[in-house]
Amino acid sequence: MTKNKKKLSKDEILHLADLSNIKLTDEEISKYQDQLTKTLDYVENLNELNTDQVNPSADITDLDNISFEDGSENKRGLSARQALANSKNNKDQFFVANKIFELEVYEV
Amino acid sequence: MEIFGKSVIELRQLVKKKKISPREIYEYFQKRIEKYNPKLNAYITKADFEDKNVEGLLVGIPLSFKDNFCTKGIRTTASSKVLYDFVPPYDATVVSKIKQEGAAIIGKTNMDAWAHGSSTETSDFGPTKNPWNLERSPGGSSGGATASVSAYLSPASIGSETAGSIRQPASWSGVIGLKPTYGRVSRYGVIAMGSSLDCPGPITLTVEDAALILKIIAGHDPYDATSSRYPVPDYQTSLKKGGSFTIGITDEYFEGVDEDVKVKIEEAIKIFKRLGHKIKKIKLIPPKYAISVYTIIQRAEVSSNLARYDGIRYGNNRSYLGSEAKRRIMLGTYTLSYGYYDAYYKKAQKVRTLIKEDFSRAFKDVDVIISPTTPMTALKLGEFEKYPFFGEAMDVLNEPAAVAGLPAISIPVGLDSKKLPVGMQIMARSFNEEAILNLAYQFEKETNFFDVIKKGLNNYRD
Repeated sequence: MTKNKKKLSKDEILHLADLSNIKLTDEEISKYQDQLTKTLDYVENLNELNTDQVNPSADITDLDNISFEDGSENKRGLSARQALANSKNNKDQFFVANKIFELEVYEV
Repeated sequence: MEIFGKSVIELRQLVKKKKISPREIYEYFQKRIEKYNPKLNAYITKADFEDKNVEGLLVGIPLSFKDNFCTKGIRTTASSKVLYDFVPPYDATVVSKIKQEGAAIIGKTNMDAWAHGSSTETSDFGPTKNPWNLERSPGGSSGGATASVSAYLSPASIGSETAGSIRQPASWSGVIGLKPTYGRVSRYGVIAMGSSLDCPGPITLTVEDAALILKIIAGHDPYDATSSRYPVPDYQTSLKKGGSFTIGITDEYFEGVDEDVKVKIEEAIKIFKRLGHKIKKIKLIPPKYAISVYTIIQRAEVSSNLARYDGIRYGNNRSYLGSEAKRRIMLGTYTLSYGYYDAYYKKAQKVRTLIKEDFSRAFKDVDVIISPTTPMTALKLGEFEKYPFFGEAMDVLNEPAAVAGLPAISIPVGLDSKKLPVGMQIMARSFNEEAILNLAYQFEKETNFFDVIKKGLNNYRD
């Protein structure tokens, strides 16, 4: 088995955690550096198989695109009350979310 | 009227003949859960009896569901603290199909959190104990479900498999577990893990119960675009048709397998020969490559599926994710990232094609393929850390069929020297659950699984 050139760095782990919206402790960072590197090393064994002439399989169903007819009845719809029932923070039938944009006020 | 140890079909007969009422059966299992669950931790949420006025194939039958099936009005957590207080406003399609036949939900069973694992040890509700030996794991991720059947805290259960999560715990808990073809059973309302692999299936005490439950839950669902329109046969009738099959066996699936397990599978092969089946040696791609394909594809799908848990619409925020979920999300994020996508994700998709074609070739020569379900019998709780990827090594023989979307069943074939159940799996080509069930049924009639299921039940008398 070929080994990954180098262990994943602390910065790489922090970048992945950031992309995944996950917070890590220092202990977790070093643990994941080791564990993720080990896993990536293992899966290198796929390179022992020649796949030059092989098409990738995104799924295994052989199904084509499936769509609903316009006007199909949607039995899945939830009422606002049902949809909000599990939320811990809502107001006037809206979910309360963290703000993601800073409001900039321009002088006109 | 004795209820103990009766199959779903036997209980159904008793209800039909009015020898016992649905409420009596329900309360019987409730009592057993109260008695044995504190020891086993198979259930994490108990349900209440509801009087229903419906006709159907399962009237009066209480069933347990793995806790990743959304159940309207009943807490559904996937054994994660993120969903600790989540109460779904709707039923998964599998749940509503079972309810329509008159069955009642007796409770929700423990699992590895998000189904990430093969031991139930990643559950935020503590591990489930193997009913055969309380120091050991029942397997996973559907370990609560298989334990609930093995100790008769439910006459059958609905589990789910992404790669091994029905077959492996069925093998370790000494019961029957059927993983149908991908797309045979709707995934709608099942908490998503690896969406191109996930598949609900029955866990039972008899092969006929598995056939009956599959007949009920299989079929096209407009709310799962990957569910198949392929007609659903009457599995219960076809399983009794008999006939002889060409059975493939392959050395690659015996490599690294415990001697104890090998011996039992070889005995089973002899029985199949005696029953008039033809055994044929075949060659398949070694299962170790399926581990890599599975690891890459599943982590990638996990990273995308678990992105929805932000604590805004339901559940708690991402700080409640456990260590295994975080590890998988980050690995999936890595392999899907720009610069790594081709080397990992695309490569895995290509090898997935190879594995699928490899099986297609094999199934030109044989009707089914048999192998051990797991390389060894139930491990001790805490022992998994010694093995690479924790669970993956235990699922090595399950992953090829999962990656190729094929149906497979695990049935008990005896006990090893530690007095733990050994499982054998039977795999077939897509949508040929009939052959699998037929052969498993023949084996059951011939051997009664060497009384493994019966012995398991007898440790948990009323």
